[in-house]
Amino acid sequence: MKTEENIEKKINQTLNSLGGLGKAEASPFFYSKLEVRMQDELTSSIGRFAFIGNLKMSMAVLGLIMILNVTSLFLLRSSEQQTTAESSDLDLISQDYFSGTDDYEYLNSY
Amino acid sequence: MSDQEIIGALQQKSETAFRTLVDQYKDRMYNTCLGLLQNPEEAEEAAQDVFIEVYKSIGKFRGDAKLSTWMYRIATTKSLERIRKQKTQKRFAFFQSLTGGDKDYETTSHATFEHPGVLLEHKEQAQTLFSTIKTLPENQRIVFTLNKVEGLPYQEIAEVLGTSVSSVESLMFRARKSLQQKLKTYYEKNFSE
Repeated sequence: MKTEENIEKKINQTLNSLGGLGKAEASPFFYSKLEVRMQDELTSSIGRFAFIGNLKMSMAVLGLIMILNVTSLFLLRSSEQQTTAESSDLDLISQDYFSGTDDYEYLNSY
Repeated sequence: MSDQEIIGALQQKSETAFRTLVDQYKDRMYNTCLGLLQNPEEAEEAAQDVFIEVYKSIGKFRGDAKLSTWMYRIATTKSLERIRKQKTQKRFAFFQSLTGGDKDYETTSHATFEHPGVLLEHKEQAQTLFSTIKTLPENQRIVFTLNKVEGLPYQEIAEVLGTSVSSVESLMFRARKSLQQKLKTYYEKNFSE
């Protein structure tokens, strides 16, 4: 019985042990450390992506990408035309040799 | 500088305003993070996270809550992110310890925390209480810590968490009940006459 009472007392003391709790204070160098950290974060992001931040460079990169796209488009169309020309030749040959008609009268002229 | 003036100047990226903000709020943010994280180094980094976030997000602050409420909300979020990260790391360390990897797991998992503001006569019980608070579910832990460590009233805690006062009261009640139960188990095991 006494043990139970003592345990109850201990529990209450523990639950109330934060009574009168003072506030913890940040380090006196808190602002300096924060400043250094913010500088580091800003510098590292600027360092990696600095070229994007530069407007002239960004425009130059964009221009280059557009030129590459236009060139690719041009090359693609050229190869399509060549393929079309080749297939025209193939069509003629196939017409000569694989004509759909059963007209062989021309052989009689030989 | 008033909060309104600080907000206005911060939105113009004023360094003076930022410095004023840090001076006015650093102790509150540190104390809150320390209560939640129970580790001075982690708490300092989390408090820094708060000010970095304020700097980045001040443009989005609409002013429908007090500046302090917004900052406590950020402090709670940043601290919770670290707590969850610690739990993940602990799980990994536990598995490592099974394979004989991490020998430090046992010592760090039961490290006791001494809050610098605890009265000397309550030191031992406060250590036990803080250890037990760590085992509470997240929402009970937050509410109990914001009230008992940072001294926030229920109304302000409700605003910080975006909930009602009655929810906060309920969470506090459940937190006390959980702590009573856990402390009873602890003292029955460890307290002998």
